Amino acid sequence: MRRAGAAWLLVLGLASPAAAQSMDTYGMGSRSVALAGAVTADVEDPSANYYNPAGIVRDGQLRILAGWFGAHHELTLDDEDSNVDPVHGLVVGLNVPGNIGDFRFAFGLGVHLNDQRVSRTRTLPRTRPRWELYDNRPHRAYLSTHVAIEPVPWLRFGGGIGFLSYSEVDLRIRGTIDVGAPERGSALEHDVLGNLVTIRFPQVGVQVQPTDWLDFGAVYRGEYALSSDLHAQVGSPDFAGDDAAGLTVGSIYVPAYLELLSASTGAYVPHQLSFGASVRPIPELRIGVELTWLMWSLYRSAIGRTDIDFRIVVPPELGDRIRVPPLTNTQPVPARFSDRVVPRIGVEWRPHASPEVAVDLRGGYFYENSPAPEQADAYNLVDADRHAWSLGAGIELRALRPLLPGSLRFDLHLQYSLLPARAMTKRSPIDPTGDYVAQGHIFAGGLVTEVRFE
Amino acid sequence: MRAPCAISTALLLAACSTIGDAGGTPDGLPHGGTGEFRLLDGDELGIAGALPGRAMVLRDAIERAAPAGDFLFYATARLGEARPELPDGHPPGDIYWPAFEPRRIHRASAWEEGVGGFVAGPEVLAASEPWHGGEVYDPWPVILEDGTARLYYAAAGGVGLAEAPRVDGAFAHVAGPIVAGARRPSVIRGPDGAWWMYYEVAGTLQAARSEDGRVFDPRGRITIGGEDHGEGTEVERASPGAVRVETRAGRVLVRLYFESLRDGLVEGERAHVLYVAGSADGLAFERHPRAVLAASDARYPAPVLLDTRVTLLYASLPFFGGPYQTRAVVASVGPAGERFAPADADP
Repeated sequence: MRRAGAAWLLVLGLASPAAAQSMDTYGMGSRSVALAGAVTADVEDPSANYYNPAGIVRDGQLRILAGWFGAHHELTLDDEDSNVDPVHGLVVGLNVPGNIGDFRFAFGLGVHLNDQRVSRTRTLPRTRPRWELYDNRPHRAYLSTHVAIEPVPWLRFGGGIGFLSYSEVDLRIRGTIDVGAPERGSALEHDVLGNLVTIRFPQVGVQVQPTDWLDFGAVYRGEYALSSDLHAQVGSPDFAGDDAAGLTVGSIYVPAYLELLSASTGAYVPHQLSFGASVRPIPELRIGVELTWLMWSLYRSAIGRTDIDFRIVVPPELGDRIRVPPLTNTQPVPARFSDRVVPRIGVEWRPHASPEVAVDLRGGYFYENSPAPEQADAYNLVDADRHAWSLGAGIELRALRPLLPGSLRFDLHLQYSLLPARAMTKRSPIDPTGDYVAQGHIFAGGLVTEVRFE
Repeated sequence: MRAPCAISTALLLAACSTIGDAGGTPDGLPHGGTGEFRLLDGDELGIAGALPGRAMVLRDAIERAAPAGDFLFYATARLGEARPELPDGHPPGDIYWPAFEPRRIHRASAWEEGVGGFVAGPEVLAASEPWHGGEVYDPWPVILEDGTARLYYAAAGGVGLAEAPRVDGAFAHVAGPIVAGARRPSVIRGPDGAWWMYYEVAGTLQAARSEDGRVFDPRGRITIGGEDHGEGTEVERASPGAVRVETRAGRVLVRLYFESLRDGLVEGERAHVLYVAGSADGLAFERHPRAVLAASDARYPAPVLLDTRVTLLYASLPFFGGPYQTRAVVASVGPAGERFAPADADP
């Protein structure tokens, strides 16, 4: 137990508030998604690396999972497509068991790698409507590592950390812009420095199995917030030196300096606490239920601050021709989200099982009430409630010796989400965006293969 | 060989599917009709060689124009025989009407190609009543649910009303002055379902309410609050152009475009700049802080909604093409990013 305690301290010590990925919205693996994510109590395949790390030690077998996942969005504002990009990519999971004497443990690895873009940072104009939970958040790679122990046969603990990254971009421009012929007469140089800085967030879980037909589980996933920082500097503040910049109007040189600092949150996932139970009233039937508490009220803001310092030294002869517009700094806008509790239910039925092959059929449902308030002011963090129904099936080939000392599984799932119409009524009758109705559908699916070594 | 080829092809397609793309950006975003509008270009209007925004080519003096269905009603007058000298102090941008024949109201038909363009049409209303003072102007047409058309207009004594069985039919004067002393009428169904007329009296915007659209009960000045970030100082408001907006969220609003007459913007002149205000009750308005049209000396706004997010705004800009300055009818669109396909493009 002392070793286990040290492992926990290590995990928690490395964790820091940190960003979002596909799993929070669409789940991981096919079996678990088909069961609507109601698997915290008894998950044991490599998707446990997301749902409950305690599960990676559950069956003591080496399991390797690989598959593909995709989601297509049809989200609209006033029936106009919001062009929310699809998300698809590879899913990989690994459970590696071990034991020292009677002490069982396991290591796990979970990976989701989007195949279109590993990570996307996007900062939109402050008032532009954006589907806050679907537009940018899923476009992240996900990597998590876990360790789990089973001190007694009915109790398992697991924990680990997930890795994500946020971006810091530094842009410097120097030289001159010819106002009369900007394409031909300008001479500009720039330096760009971009960093993807790693962040980590914790995930811990427990599974309790008092009987063969009843399981309980709980999991905590840490908060993470991906910031996106841009620092742009044009010219030098004292208008001199190698970094100086300016405009040329004919033969007149106009020294100028611009410094822009933009800081915003590109993706956020709140603290999450899930409690689940599963029951097998008969060996062929498994029913799982779950409640997940997501602390969205801690979400500070998706709309960040912008600091602008713009200076221009207008020569007297151009005093009446060049007018510098007033530029004001902007402050973060509170998100004012609310916590939400997500109920889930998943049912799995095994209509056929033999020493050679087993077949499973699955179905699930969950409901996510929107944490976003009605967008009555100038800002538009669009969201709507979500009803998600899923179906899935799996087949396990068990008699593959001597080719494979274990079994081979194929699972697939389909998920349909309905986001019912939500009207956004603006407080101001002259709001630039105006009233609108947000609604949509999400279609997702995936296929995974899992090899299990006995 | 077929199986390896098929597998290779499948793998190649799978690999190609993972090639990254630039990603989409939101399209067709909702719009409150408040930001900056853009003058349509000749390709969008379908009028080859037209100056930016010019919705109708006409040599005669033309003032306010307002659309209804496939028609545009406008007040116009031919140049008179006499060539009186422009008096000192005549406001720049104003048409010098003594040089023209009495104004009458005409009806233009939609240009066959493009969006927002019209071809000049016949006279539909001329002065006939003593209170007209010899001319009629400031048309504002309304088409009722049964197809009947009403034409509100102004004359020397105030606002009058003419009607026709259809918008393309013959109009006849039926009542007037229904609001004495008013001009630039703009009539819509208000949020309460009644008829609301917005009009100009001595540099102020006022409203009147009616159950039947014929007998109006004046309600006095409307209030326009909110911040004004425009240059110069607003000293008067004129030429209201109202539109009823039924939002997708189920709310009915009034958007009122108007001229803001401003001092301190152009030296020695009073500038005309178009602004917009919104109201949920038709009387208390909140203005958008910035002008809706960047063009200088824009006047006589007349909006029409194409759908819940796209608004066409007709207005008037100075035109110099004869012995006296006149004005041209222009069409603009908001949001400014909205572009109509060129008239000769395939649908």
